[in-house]
Amino acid sequence: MENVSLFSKTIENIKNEIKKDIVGQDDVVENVIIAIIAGGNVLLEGVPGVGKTRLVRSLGKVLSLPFSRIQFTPDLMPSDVTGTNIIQKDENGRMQTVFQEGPIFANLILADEINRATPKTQSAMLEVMQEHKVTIANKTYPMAEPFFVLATENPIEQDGTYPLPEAQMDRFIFKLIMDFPTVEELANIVKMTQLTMDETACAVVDGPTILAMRETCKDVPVVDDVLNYAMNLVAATHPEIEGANDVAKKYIKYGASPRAGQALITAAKIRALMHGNYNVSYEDINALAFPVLRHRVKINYNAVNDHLNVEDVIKLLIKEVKR
Amino acid sequence: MKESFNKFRKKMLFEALIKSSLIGLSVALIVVTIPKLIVHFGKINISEFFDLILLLLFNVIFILVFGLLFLITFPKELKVAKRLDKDLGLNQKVQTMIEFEHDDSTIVNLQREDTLNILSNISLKKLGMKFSVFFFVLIGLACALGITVAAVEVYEKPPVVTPEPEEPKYDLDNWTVRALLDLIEVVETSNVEKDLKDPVVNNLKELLNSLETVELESEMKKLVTEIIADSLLRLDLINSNNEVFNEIKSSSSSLVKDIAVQINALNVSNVNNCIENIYVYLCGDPTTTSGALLEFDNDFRTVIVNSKLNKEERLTKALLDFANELKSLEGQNNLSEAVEVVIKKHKENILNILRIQAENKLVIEYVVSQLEIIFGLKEPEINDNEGDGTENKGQINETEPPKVNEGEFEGGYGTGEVLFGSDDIIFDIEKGSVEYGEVISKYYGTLIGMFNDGTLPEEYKELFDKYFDGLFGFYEEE
Repeated sequence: MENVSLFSKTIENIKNEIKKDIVGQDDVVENVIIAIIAGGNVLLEGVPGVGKTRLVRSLGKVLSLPFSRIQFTPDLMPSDVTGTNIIQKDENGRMQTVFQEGPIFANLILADEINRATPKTQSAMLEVMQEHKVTIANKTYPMAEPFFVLATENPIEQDGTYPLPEAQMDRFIFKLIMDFPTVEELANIVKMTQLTMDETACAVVDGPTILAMRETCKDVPVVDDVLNYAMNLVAATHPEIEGANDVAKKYIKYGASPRAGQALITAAKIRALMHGNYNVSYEDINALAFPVLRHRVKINYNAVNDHLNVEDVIKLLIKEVKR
Repeated sequence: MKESFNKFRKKMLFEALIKSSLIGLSVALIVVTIPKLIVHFGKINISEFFDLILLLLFNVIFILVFGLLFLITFPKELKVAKRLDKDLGLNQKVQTMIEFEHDDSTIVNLQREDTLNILSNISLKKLGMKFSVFFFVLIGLACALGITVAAVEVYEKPPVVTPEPEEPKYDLDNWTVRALLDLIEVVETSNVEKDLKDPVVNNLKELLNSLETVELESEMKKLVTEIIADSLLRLDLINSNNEVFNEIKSSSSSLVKDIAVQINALNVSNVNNCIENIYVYLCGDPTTTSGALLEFDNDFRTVIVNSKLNKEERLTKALLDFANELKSLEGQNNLSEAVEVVIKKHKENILNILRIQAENKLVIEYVVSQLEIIFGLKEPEINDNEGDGTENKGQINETEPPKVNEGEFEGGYGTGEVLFGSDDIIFDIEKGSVEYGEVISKYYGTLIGMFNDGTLPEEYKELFDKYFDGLFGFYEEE
């Protein structure tokens, strides 16, 4: 009972603090919070200047967690991210190998413009994003929990970029799109940044609280019908399976992995609780289908030809799948 | 705890009952009305138990459909929960509460409390009854068929009522008055017994008076029928020949049988002959007279004595006196002469009684016949022996008055062949209504034939030719 009350209160506090630094983008903020509580990583996509980095920096302050920013460039090496062993003299003057932690060793990681790094460097992120640990020279180093990677990418300026491999994309629980703000929001942003460019949000939650909130959400009940609906929705993204629907057959190249199902239910539980509900509903599933599936579903040329993007295809799938 | 949930469940239970009942009734009604209409419009002959069978079928189908539908639509908890979530927009709250009914975790308990709290704040009216289009179509179809059958049953094609023909009117005309007066005169001048004559004449006069006020033909016919019945009844009361015949016809003697037949026919001359035959039988051979007398007594007198006849009735008494006196002759000498004296003595008495009865019968039958003809109760009979002079004199000619005493009976109604006619159409006794010219030709032909075969003297031919030429000319002018 106390945990549930604390959950709602904490969420409300986080939202209020982030609103001090981020104008608009309510859905993105909410989904980022969901992802943090779920222990998932988020891929943020947006044109430059919409507040991707500011959002993460603000989150770092609010969550009162150690924060690292890694600017991904083509010459960035994996060891630049994970860290490396260096030879060092000890107090007695003897040479010894010491592990020098990379910027990945923090609770909150901003992987800025992740698609600019080479696949080799991107792959270095795979283990740490999924298993929250890095292995260097046969030695494994666990990350401090909660661990959260928030990567950004720019949908334009694709020259010199390396699209993320599907395996890595699947590690992100959500892919969130930060739209360009409205004129009103833009005005508010300008007003806000005239005073100071620094984030003004205060810490309202710490790591252990986040972990406790994660545990609380696991108990949110999901009825069989809703669970089946979520799984059917994920399965409906696969054109190759028997009994695939017409939308998938026509517009989808390949569908989402089982991680999508896990992400959908986990995130839905958190979303339900965030909205004051003690159970997961179809509405939660439908709302989260877009951030969960949009980077996991690959549309084919037919969809492009029909001027459909991945969001349109997901909408068609939601209509197609029976409750 | 779950009262707020159960109130909705009760409402859904009621809804299921209503739906099951109405659909059951509709299906049963449709199934029953279709064969009913087929039978009606197909004009198919059916068993008298058809309606009973349909009633049984209706009940069976209703029970089956109702039971099946109620089982299907019975509001189980999960079904109610899903319905509430959907209709009240509760985002699977109720379904979760039911599915996790036995889960005791903190969040589930909170969820349960939250859901019940929400349900208790929702009015029962918010959950409306849901009826599909199919439901209304079914009800509508059943109603339409039911109304059709009811209409067919209630508004059966009314029987064609043929308006009763207006009762014919009756108007007493001069012709009828004259005919009745002629008939009364015939009766009054006849030799009918006074006990019969007076009531018949009175009846006829009374009929004449009554007809003046009668307006309908049916009333007229009723009056005439009553007069006829009364006349015949009086005849039967006064004439005993029939009764005598019925009693003695069974005698083993042909002599007695013959006289019985002739008495029944009131043929006086034949009765006379029969009595003569009896004399011949008894006295033809004087040596056997005694035995014959004894035998005749056994066949005749004994039969009368043993009969139920009124022995005081005049004809019976006359016959019995005759038989007794014959019996009293037994043992006498010169028997045949004595028999002859007795026969002569009684013969006239018997024949006189028969003549009176014959006169009674002739006149009454004539009256009846004339009444029937005058008032159209029957068509006049055709006399096949017309004009050939061979008709039985004992039979009454319905177009002629009885001719018992010809010297006293002249004129009167119905003596000719033409009974009624008009300018163009005339009644012919053989063909009914025929054209006037056709009858004239026929009569003229008959006359020519009579001239040719010498029945009529040749000197009258010119006279008749002129007469018929005139008739033909008149007809042609018309």
